[in-house]
Amino acid sequence: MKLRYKHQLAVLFTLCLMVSVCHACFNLPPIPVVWPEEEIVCVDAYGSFGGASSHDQDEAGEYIFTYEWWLYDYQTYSYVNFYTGDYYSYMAAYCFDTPGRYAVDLYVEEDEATWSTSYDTCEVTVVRVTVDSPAYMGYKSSVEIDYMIEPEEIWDPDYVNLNIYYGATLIRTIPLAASSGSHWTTWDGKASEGTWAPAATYTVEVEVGTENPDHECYGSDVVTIVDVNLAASDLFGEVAEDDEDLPNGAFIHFNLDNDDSSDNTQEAPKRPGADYAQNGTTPVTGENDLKLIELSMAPPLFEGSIVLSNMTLGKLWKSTTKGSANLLLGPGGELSWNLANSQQRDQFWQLCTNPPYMEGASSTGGSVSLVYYSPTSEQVKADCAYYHFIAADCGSQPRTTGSLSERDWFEGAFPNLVRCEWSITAEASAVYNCIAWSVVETNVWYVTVESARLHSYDIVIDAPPWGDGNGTLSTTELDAFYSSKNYVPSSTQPPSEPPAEVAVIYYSEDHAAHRMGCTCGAGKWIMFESKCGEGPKIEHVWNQINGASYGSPSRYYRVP
Amino acid sequence: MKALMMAVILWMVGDLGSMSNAQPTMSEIFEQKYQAWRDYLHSHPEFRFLSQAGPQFDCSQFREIVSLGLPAIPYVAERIARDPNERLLWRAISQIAKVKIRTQYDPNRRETVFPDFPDFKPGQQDVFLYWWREGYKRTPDRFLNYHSEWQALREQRQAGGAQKYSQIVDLGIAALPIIVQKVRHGDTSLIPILSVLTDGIIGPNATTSECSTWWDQNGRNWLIPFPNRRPVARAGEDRTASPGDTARLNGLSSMDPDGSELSYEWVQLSGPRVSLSDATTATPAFVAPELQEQTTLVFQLIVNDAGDLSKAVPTPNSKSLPAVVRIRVNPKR
Repeated sequence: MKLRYKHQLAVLFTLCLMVSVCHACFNLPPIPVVWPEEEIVCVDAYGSFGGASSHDQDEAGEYIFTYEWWLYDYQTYSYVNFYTGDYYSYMAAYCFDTPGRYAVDLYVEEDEATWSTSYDTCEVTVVRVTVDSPAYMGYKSSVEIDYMIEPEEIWDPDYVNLNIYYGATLIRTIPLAASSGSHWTTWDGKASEGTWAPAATYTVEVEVGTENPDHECYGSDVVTIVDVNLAASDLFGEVAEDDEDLPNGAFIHFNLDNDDSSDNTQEAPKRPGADYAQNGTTPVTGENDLKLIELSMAPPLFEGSIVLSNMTLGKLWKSTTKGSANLLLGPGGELSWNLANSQQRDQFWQLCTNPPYMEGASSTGGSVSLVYYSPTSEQVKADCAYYHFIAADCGSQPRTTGSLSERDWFEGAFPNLVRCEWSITAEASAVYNCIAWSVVETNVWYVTVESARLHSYDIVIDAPPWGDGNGTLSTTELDAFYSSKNYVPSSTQPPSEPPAEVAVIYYSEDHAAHRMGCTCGAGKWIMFESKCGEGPKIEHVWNQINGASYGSPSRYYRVP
Repeated sequence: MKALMMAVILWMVGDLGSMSNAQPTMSEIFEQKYQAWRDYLHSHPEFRFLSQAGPQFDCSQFREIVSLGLPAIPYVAERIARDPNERLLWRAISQIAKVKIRTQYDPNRRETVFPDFPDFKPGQQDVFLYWWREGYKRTPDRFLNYHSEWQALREQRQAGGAQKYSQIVDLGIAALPIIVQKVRHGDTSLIPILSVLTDGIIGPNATTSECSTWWDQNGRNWLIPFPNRRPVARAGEDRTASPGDTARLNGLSSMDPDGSELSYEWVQLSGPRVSLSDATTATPAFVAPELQEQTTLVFQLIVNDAGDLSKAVPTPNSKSLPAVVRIRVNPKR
């Protein structure tokens, strides 16, 4: 039992005097006993106190006649008698609405006396935990959470935890500093196993406790993880989520123009260019340079706004049919939907269900972004799909005229050729062929063996000084030929993809290609040039001419 | 009347019969087979992108062109000459005539050179056309060079004989006449080459006599119908004749650049008509007429080389351009 202030000392003195007097009269005072001796109570919760162990010191038959419960507020220095009852009222409860330190005193009276000065007390700490988090946070991002533990300075908890709940499921517990007062902490947006917590609404709880498991208090708030996503497809399929934000994220042709061959004449000298007829009133369908870009948002929200911006020179079409009526978003355009408006909300979800198509329109790139703004206009989550519009644009567009256009001709012979991944870099010539061009010669025609001669002027590799003329071209003889042209075999050989050092690819069906000295394809491709028989010379990707005519790469050479 | 109608019917039947019996010319046959081959190539656009011989030639359509043999060569060559894009046809000539043209790469000039035709300028003309039009005439000289080198290597038992042997073989059928000539003179070492070039008709172990007899009987069919060059008619110098004299025209200076035998055709163009002794000889004669005043007689000579063996296939340029000679006849005194 503790001694307190001056007036209490006076009371004690008086009581002692009375006890001594009563003892003199042979009536001892009762002894109040409060349980528990200390208590931590959460604010706005009831603290329960018991005095059943109180007893009278006199002989049997005497008992506690009344219980009187007092609450002393250390903050206001005031007493409140919160419960008084007869000998059955040894229990009392009090609801504390303000954090702080309190004392609950029990005064008891025995049956022999009309009033007793005996009392016992319980020290009570009323704890309040307040949590304040933003209403929204972005997926794969962190959030700052403010919290306050009261009373501060005069009491510290034994432990403090930050608990994250998805519904009733605890997904993460983060230990915090065990001290009262105002604090902030950060949730990194991850669950306990280190994975990103998916987009959903979570309860953020600060748990304050002591060693006594019953003495825990909690404060909580709600935060919603919002995810918006743009899923871009490109020439090579679906772009990985984490890559599409990076430069060169998604690759789309910008020069496929199979709707109107005359378009090509608008860019001298017929270099690959964007469509020009796309804004016409006549719909254009079937262009396979359009690539899907899917929009999504989670969870479904009914407030805030979402904005789609096109910061590219490309165009977003509602479907693969192009035309003025089907344009969703032009270069530099922006669309915004207020999610609190049911009509606009539906429009956005319609777009998620029927995603648009991106079309490149120049050799530059750019980004398309989707941003969610909270009702307070704060940017919560954004996703950006970066596009790079590429083309094999060193040469000229294949001509579309004639009974069998060059496009059809080449793409029929080499089905792996994708329209905008090749172009014509030199006109047809019967003077030099693929092997000649593989060693950058333009006035000679090389054939492998005597029987493979096409012309009277062909030079046979399987003949001195490179070969033995036995009618079969061996790898040794081929190496000797290329060695005489200052090329040596690469350390990497087919079927591996040719590394950047490879200058010459020799194909299994006696074709050869030379690497271009350009940056066509923005580094995504390594472009090679093939002189195709007596036809034109084209630029292409290393494996796009694989097939029955040329076989597949069989030997790589590099410059020593 | 009935007889007249019967005559008309018989004439028509006869005419139809002659129509049905009309044989297509080599030109028509070649064009037909050539178009069939072109159609085949067009049905395979990917062939255009091949830089090595393969399926373009490994087809029945092309084999049929080759099977036309030597008579088709002029038409093949002219087709190539008309359209350089048809140069793939040279392979037909190469297969028919068994000729191969040696090529080398000159690393200094970075271009293809032709050791057998050093004066041929690459890029200006297809070398095979050059061979067809001019180069074949060097076949005898090239043969003699290769042959002497080959013989020397054999006698000295030095390496390189096989290469020289191949070079002789690669001269093709154009070398047959001189090879046969050599064989006739006793060089039996050439008989195996003769056998190769005749696809074994002459056996590799044939005797000189057998070779000679075969050539006498069949050589005409084994001559390549090289292009005919126009003969040149030369009618002689203008001169004067006296009345009553026998004047003789002289076309003996006429010549055929291919060395073919010429036929002559003299025609009087002006002056009092005289009677030539034989207008189809090189030197016809006539008696100068007696005239009151000086008169000039003009005669035209056209020579024709159609009698040459190489004209088995009708070729242009068999007739020369006309040449004239003026014979002035003085008046009678």
